[in-house]
Amino acid sequence: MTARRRELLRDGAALAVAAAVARSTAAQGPPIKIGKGLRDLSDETLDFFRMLGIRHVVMPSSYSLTQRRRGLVPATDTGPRTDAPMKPWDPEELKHIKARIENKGLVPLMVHLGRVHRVVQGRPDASAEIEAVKTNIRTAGELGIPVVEYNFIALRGSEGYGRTTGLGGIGLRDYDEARTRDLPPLDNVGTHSRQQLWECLEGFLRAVIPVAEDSGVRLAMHPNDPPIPVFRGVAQPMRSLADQRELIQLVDSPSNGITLDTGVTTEMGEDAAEAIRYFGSRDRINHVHFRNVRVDVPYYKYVEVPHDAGDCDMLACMKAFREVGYRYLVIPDHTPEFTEDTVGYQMGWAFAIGYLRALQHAAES
Amino acid sequence: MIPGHRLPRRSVLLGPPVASLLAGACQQAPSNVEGGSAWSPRLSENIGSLDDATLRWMAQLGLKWVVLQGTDSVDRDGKGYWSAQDVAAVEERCAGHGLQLHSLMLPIGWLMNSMLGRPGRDQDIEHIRTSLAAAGARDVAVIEWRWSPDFRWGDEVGYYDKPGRGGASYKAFDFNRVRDAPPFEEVGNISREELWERMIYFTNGVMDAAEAAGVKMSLHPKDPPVQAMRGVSRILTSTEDIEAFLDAVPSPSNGFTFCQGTVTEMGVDVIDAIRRIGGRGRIHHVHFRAVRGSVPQYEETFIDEGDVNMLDAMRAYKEVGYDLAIVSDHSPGIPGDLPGRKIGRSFSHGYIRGLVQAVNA
Repeated sequence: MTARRRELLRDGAALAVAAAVARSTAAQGPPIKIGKGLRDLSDETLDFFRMLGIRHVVMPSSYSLTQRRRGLVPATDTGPRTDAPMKPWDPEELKHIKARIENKGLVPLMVHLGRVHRVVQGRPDASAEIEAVKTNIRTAGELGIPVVEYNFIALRGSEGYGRTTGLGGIGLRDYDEARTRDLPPLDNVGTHSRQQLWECLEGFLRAVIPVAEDSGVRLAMHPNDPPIPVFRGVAQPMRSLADQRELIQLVDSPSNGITLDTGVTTEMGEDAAEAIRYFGSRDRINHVHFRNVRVDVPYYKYVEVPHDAGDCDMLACMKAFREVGYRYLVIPDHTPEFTEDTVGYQMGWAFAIGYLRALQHAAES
Repeated sequence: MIPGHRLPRRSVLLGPPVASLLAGACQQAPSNVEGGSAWSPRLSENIGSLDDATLRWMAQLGLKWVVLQGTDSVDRDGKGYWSAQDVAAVEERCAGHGLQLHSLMLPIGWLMNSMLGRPGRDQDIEHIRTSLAAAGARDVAVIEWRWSPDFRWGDEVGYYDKPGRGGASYKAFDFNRVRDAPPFEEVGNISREELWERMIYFTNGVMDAAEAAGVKMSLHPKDPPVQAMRGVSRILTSTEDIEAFLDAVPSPSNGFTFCQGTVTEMGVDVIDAIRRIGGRGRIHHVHFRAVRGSVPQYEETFIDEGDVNMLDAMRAYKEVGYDLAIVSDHSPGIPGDLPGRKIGRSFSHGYIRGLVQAVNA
């Protein structure tokens, strides 16, 4: 990478963000950007998060105006839903989505790539999918979206999730690896070793990171969640801080970064604030999921709890973002389920965002 | 490499909870503001009724205490005072959701003869003394009251709806809307001296009973804090008034609801006021809410965007050793919000929780 390109990458994204913020608000955005992931573009959703003071969001890659309940426990991952190859985004649709969001006074800073099954599984026809990813990254760059997140999961250990309750009977998601330990491989997914997956990951990074650099886009790889070693014969390649350190060393570029998930980091039994200082001081945190868990057995058994009530010191994390000068999104990611909550889990999100806002004020003062 | 933060799995399986092993890690308990040696005010919420949805919501927010303002829920047979059985029934409702009753509100009707200086006030005072004894015989810590013969909450006293952040609906006030409005027929004109003298008469009439019962009385300032409106003087509209009131009845049971919204509306240094009144141990209740502007024009905003630095305010309550309830009180209107503005107030409670943790850090 040339020095010039490196410099563009460092400053380009930040400038694009600043310009976008200036366009929509005529004011500097806050130093820590408390954001929210969006799944739909309904008035109810967009207006609601603006009311809570949200300015920056993750934009969906498809246009929907319908609020849907996400459900507390994630749907079972059964591998690829179709054998059709991943199609690149329609740039016109993305423009339309972005305009809709901006018209509500919000600034999209991130978009999720979607699953890249052929690449992850190392199938012979993976190259078309890699081309689609490259196209998407260029589209994001052209639209001034500075971050694209992706997962590298052949099969997620979602069947280990369950439902439990916390204070007052609030619905919580828990995870226990023992529930899935003896499950067999799936026919349509097969088995995948850690080494195979890392080889595929390396090939993927070498193909797409230069495109991201040229497009002024940073990629953020979400760690495997749950961070177990193997599920139905499928290794989980990004399940520890050591894996994440290896990732950023594999291709040394600010475009090759991570999603720092305080929840997953805590599930690993690690100190999330310390992890933020490690990856943030190297400018390799490109996205943040900010949530909390109570851990029984690191990597294997834990409960996703309200943001204020887990093992992770959330204030220390917020201070660490300031310390390392992190400039991208911090989103609350998951919420518990209040019994009387609305379709959009508004009570849950309101509590989470209020809590994050207070920590932000404390960290910035 | 990240030094020293990987936990050997075995030690976790055998040893103490993970949290205690993690450097700087936070609490294991479901709510980490309520334990250990940390400052832990009684985080709560004003509620108007004891329905299951409301109590469940409070418990799910991680609150432990109930501030009941719904006066119909206590003296349900309308006898004009509370019995210990009345209070016990409320406590049982709360306990059914794992909550504890912290405070009750005196019905404004029980104060009307006193506020208007009418015959019958002594009988009312006797009933209130009986009620305080009943509350104290149970575990009620605080009794809220208001001194407001013209208790109104709408456009007839200068309020109006104003669009705020994201199109939320703010309660706004503009004194100019009612500066020239006539007195309310059923209230008439009341001078400052009359209102003050009657208030002291009432306070002296009940405070020894409060002391004997071991309950703290907490008087809300007049909101909006203008000197007079529609023929009625409004006292407790300045910090001088508040301090004069506390001086006039120096009982430790005689205290003040530090409605941060109303004090902000007064246009004074709120943090200094917390230190002065709280330093005397006479803040008996806190309404932790935010306002932009002050009399004659202001608006009630979301908790994170008002004129007062809320972190400094929280720190000030901690510094003066305040250990009673903190409620969010009001929230702007969010379209589609649930009864009792549970969504808006959930936002406030997330914020309050974060600040309490921050001042304990």
